[in-house]
Amino acid sequence: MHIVSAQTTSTLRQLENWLPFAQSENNAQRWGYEPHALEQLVVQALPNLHHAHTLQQARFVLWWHHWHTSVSLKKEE
Amino acid sequence: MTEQRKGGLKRSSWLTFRRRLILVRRLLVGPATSSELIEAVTIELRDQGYPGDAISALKHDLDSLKSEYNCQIRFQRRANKYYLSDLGELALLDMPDECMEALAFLDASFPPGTLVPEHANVRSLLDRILMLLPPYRQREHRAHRGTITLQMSPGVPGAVNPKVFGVVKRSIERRQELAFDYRSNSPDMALVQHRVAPYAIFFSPEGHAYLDATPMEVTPPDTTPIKHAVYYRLDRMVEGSPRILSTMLPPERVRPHVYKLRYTLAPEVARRRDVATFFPETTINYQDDGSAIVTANVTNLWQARQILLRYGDACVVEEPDELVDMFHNTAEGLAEAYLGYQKPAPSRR
Repeated sequence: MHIVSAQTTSTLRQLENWLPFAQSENNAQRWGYEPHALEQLVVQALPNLHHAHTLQQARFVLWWHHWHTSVSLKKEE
Repeated sequence: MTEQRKGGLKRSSWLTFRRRLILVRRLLVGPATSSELIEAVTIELRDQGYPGDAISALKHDLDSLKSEYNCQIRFQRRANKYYLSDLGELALLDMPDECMEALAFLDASFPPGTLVPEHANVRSLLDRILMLLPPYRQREHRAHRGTITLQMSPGVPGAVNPKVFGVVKRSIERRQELAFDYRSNSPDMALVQHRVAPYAIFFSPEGHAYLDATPMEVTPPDTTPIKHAVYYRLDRMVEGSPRILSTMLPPERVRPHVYKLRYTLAPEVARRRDVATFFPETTINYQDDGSAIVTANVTNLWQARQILLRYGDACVVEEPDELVDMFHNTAEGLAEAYLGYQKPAPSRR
């Protein structure tokens, strides 16, 4: 039997709502995230995205997390 | 009397006047307890508001408002609150006749006890405005019958449960998903659970209240188009079932699927070249034979069908295929109802 935890369900629902927005930013800014990496970015940004009251604020949150991810990846290299 | 003494008196009566105005303003917002009234004064005038015995001073102010300005203020012991029922001489709002006509128009268009004014609080606003008018204007208003009204269906206020309305409204304000049980029209699908992203409540001219939402999940699955714009009737949501989920929505609605709409209007409705535009980005091309080809963008096919049905057989939809199919079903249903047409049984292979 496949059991999905409440936490997973909640995250999936959040992704369902925020992924289209993140995808449009990914396309507009040419960040080049593959679907799984974009999901990871949204999951990381979710706690801050909840506090965004405008589209501009939501964009800023995503940009910040994108920048943070890029810096971390460079350090690892 | 010295200059200093005169200045002190002037300042003191100015403070008294301001204090009483603050009390009236607070009571116009709604009934209030003594402490709420004192708080309202203190917020604006700080320690100058009621420097000594605040309760006695408040009672003195309320008595003065009653005796000097003829304000009707009553204390209701059960609720422990003061109520303002009439402003008396403080009814300071007067307006030109054009504005009084506008008020009569709104009053006639949104009568008490009907759906839209009840839920959109239009009556509360009108009652407040009327209260601010001086008595002679109030009498004029009562005698004046609005000659222009909006033709709105009265609807049934009881049909939308206030608790359902409140939960749906809060979910939109909080930008959170909403789940509810919905009564379907279909006899075999009595109750269906919907999880939606809610965006707005609106009232149709027929008097129904709708939620404009994007369905995310339907259990058990039915014909509801997932992630398309759907209008839900609030009176079909099962009482007690709507609940706000923790899922937060983005600040702007993800644009629902847009359909390209194209339909032809017959010469009998298009000949005068005054065809109404019902949909976003409508273009109308009038043809030499008097007909018109209309194109537009729509997000809600159900709504598009309702609108275009008003043309009867003077409108033929050509695009999108989904809407053409819906019209086929409607036409078959009408033929069944009026002409005894028998729908062919699906063929077996």
